[in-house]
Amino acid sequence: MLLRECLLRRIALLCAAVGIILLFVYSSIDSPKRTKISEVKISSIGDKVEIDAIVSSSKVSGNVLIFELDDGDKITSVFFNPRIEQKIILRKGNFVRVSGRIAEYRGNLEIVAEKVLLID
Amino acid sequence: MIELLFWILAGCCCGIITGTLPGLHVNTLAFLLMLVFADMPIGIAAFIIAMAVTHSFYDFIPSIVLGVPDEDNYLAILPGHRYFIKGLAYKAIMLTALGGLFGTIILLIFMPLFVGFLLYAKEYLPFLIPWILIFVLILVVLASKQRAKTAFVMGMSALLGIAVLTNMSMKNGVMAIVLGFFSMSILLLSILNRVDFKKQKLRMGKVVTKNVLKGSLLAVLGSAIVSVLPSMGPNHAAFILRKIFGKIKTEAYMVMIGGINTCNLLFSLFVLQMLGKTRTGVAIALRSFVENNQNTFILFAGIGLVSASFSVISIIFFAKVIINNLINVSYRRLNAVTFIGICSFILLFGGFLELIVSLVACALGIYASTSKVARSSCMAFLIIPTIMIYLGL
Repeated sequence: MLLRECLLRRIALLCAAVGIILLFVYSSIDSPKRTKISEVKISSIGDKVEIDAIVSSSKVSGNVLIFELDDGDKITSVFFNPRIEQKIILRKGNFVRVSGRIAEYRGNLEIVAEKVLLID
Repeated sequence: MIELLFWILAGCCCGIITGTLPGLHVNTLAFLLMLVFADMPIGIAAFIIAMAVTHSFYDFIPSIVLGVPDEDNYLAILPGHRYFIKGLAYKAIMLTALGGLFGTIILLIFMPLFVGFLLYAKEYLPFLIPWILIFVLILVVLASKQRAKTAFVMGMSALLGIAVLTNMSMKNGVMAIVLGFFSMSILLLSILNRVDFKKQKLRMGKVVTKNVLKGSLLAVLGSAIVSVLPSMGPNHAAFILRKIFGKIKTEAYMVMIGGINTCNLLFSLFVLQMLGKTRTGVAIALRSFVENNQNTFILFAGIGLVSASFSVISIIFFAKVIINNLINVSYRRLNAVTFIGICSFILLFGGFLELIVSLVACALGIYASTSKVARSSCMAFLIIPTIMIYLGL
């Protein structure tokens, strides 16, 4: 059987479609899970979560913004290379929605924030 | 999702530039991005992978058209250059692209099987490989019609390789040797022999599916070997496979060479996820991303398929544009400019010693070519030091 250019283009387009479907599947299973701080455990490491909480403390150290979230329970969070608007959102006292991954740092669980949103 | 596709598209566009321009390597950019984005967000990870996949498709264009390889594809330059002289450069480029696409598809289908095999075989392979390499080298000499000259070329190449690899003051010694053997010698011979190329056909023509499938399967096998064994590069794998599996049609060989680079890259990502080992610069750059994320197999497969498809569809257009523009250029003058460019490149990024090394390699390459010794025998510059490393010598 001979392979021609037109058939090759069709195969490539089919592969692209399969690839996009796989990316869609990944996006669906990788969507952040709405959770509370009390539900964050060692088994949650690597999971993507979304938490609504109050910023109880916030400080900038180099290119990292370290803040604490409080929804009745507390957890430390970090945001790398924050822009001005993110620093404003994560000021002490603000009620925010934080999306990020659970990680372990020096024996403690923390959230590595990827997106922050001001709720109130 | 839309954002992810945007990053993949941006990575593909960047990969077209890095692949087409000789001397620009995707690992350099990957490391730069790793330094800037320490937390490696998903968008940047997708950008790096897409860029690397597209680069692996496009970097055959300078190899085939200009005779300027990089360290991962210099064995493609020999048959690729022959295609170019015959006016079939476009076909040569498309064969390597076919290898990349079909290699990706076969790799993803058989990935669980390969990883399972690797987990079982990884302890035994380091013992077998040096003896396979020794056997292959002896076979190359015995099978040659010019045994004494072949052995001489291998011996001299090996000495050059050992001298360069043991000389710690040489920054880019291996690159200098590669350029000398597989680029400068071809360019100089083309200039001296007044080689000109036929009018280039801008159609892929007939390609036998069996050759494509064979080449792609060999590419996946080769990349599996490379991904596990240290000191083994894509060209080692291509060399071993060619000698072990005997006569491989040139079409299948070009497909294999094209597929090995792409499959090696994707394989290294999956090996990183499964075994935690890094074998490519891109895998090193993505280590933190893999450690902090789950289900990355699906993500890598998706990015790999989208990027490979984009590369094939875009290369159908871009290869014709590049080759079309070449027709207006005097090939002899182009070769001369490229030769001087390579010497300047070596002098700038290496030094005077590296230039001497490349000129010695060039002379040896010319001797091999004019003595009817297979130029792939010059691979001994890397094969023999690899054997020595594996045997602990």
